[in-house]
Amino acid sequence: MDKDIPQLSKVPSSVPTRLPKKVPITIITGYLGSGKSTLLQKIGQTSKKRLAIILNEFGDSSAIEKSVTIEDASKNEAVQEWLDLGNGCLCCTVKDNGVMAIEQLIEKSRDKIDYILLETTGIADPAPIARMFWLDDGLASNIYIDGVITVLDSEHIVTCLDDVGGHWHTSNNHLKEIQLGEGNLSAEEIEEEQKKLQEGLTTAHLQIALADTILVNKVDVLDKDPSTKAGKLAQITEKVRSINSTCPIYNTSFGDIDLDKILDLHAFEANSAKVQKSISMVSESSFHDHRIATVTLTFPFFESEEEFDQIEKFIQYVLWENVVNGKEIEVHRLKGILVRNIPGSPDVRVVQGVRETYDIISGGVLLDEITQNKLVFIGKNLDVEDLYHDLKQYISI
Amino acid sequence: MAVCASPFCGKDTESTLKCPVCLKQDLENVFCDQKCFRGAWGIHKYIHQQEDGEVYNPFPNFDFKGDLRPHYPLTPRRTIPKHIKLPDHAKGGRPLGELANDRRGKITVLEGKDLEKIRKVGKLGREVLDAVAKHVRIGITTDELDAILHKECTKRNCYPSPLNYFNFPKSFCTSVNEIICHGIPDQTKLKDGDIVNLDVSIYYLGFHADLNETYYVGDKAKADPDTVRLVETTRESVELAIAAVKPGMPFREIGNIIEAFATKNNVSVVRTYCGHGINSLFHCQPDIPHYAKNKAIGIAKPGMVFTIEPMLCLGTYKDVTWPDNWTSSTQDGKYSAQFEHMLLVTEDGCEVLSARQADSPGGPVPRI
Repeated sequence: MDKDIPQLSKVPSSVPTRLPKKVPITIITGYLGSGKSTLLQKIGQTSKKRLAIILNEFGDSSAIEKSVTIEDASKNEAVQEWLDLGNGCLCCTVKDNGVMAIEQLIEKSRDKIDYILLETTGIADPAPIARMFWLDDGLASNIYIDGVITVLDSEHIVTCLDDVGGHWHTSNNHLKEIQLGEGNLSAEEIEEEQKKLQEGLTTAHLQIALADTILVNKVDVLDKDPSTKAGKLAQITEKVRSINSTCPIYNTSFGDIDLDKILDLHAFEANSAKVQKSISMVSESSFHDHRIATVTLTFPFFESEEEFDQIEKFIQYVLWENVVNGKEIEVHRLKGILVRNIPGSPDVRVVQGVRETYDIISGGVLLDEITQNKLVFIGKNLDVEDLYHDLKQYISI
Repeated sequence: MAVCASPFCGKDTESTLKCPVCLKQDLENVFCDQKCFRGAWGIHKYIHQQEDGEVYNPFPNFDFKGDLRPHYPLTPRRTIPKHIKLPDHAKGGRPLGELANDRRGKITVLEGKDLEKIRKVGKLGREVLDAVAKHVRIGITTDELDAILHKECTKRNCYPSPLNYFNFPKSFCTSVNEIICHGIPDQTKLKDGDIVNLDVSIYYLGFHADLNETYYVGDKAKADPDTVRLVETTRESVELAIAAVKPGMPFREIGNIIEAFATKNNVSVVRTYCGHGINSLFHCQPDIPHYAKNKAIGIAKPGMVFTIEPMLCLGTYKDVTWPDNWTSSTQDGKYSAQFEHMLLVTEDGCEVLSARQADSPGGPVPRI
């Protein structure tokens, strides 16, 4: 027998060696046609970073291999690599295969990649992908999630968000059912998509809810009728704010944007300055859409350690029971700052959450503008009075 | 649908092309096409029974981290009597119920008759583990233990859950020394000074049970201070975590308890594998990481059933998988131990469904 054939299989470790620097990953989401690819091109052209660009359909477990483009702007070259997603899943592992594949790519190409951009499909809810890359510190990963960028098509976004019943989505092919084909979706998934459409809850709502920065793109198209341009942009801003009032909105054409506005946001960290900036954007008067809206709770600084435990129980209740004051709700994003003002050494903790996953991170800095505790929820059916009603069961305010 | 048996492919395939040599030996391994088969042959052939009956290492060029090697050939897949109820992965290898459930993400709460059933299955799981563990001794092969396990399962009308789970070839997992988990029973002989983990999972009355223990082989292992420190710390860490389980406990708390205790005893906690919910599905929500500062979702409520199964290591917690795509070894080749219990949350605490009996083999030994 051919006993001299060498062994080929190389099995990389599932826990990569810790590198001195972690590589950030930015998730870019938005409908087909919103200009995600143009934005990626633009970033590739203007950035001095060496980028790994991962396109589409990530997290779709049926696919085994995914291509990655590694662009080195300084050398003006782009290389295609394949991500090996392994053969199927092993039971009870904590990491997604795709995350492990990217970690291995980073390890393999030591120092050749500074930044990862991941473009989702147009029909993707970014929350599961964001959660996948928001790795526990204990896992000692070589990547971390930097933020979610949502790109909107200025010409159509208003129609899109107002599409109750799904006629616009259907006729413009923005449905999972259409893009993936019937055979690739379970009856349950189709039903869920239909139910959401009937409620008028579109994928765009979810993409906006998760955004750390929003680009209202293709504003050049609005130039066709300059007399209505300003009004249209104001209308878009108002609509977007009514869903997510914690993130900056920029008007762009052809994805033209300063890179420091979309990269290195550190949106999932205990950076009290960034979180404070984000949650202080919320204006109390903003119009609330019951489908997805931003709701802010404020209450005085804590006086005891127990209050931190109590507020954590409240957060667990809201995120995991999906009920507030007896009404069904759904939280998509949560941010907050909690302070126990011990003179000389204030205990400042930052709250971050995506769907049911949350973290309360110690080590924030007490800035002058932080004057009270604040929790900002972005989600479905949220009502500020209901939230306060239940919050009072946990802390006295 | 099957999974292509080529280690270079592993894709889902509708193909019905099977390896002819395997078929003769009562094994079924599907390949997409001749190309996959040809490419895989160099490795694949080693799972075939050798004509000369010799024992060999199928991965001679793999960089093994410790002293343990695989000893092939594997024995043919063991058969299941027709009357035994099969879980959904028994045929095609894919646990379809689990895959569908992963999207939903709700934690199951059992009540009424289902509670009685899962209690019964837990108890049978313990009986099976004890019956196999009695045979742990110097010189026995892990495959012989697998044969015993298989018989103990079928005689109780239970299906051994690991068999064909994502195409796992044997009826349970045997993890020796530096193997963290998912070791495949083969012709490896246990020797004095080894530790071996027996991980038993069974399917009966529509429910799975899952439990494991690490056993000392011979007196040498019990006389080695580091080995004893590792095994006893792991055993005690599960007890400590179990003591904290009650309604209202966030699942993320378990990892804090285990890692604090492990650190105190100078051993490390494996990150890659975690505990899991278990009911009519073998693995489901909640995820139970054993390391500190995790973001696990959910709190314990009466009627939930899940496992706590920390894997602790004398050296690094980092793991590497053998080319068999299952066996998980420590990266430094130092020993790793594991204990697993299956818990039902009750109104005021929890019930250990996999609890040891007065005559269970193994058990703690004094630290040195």
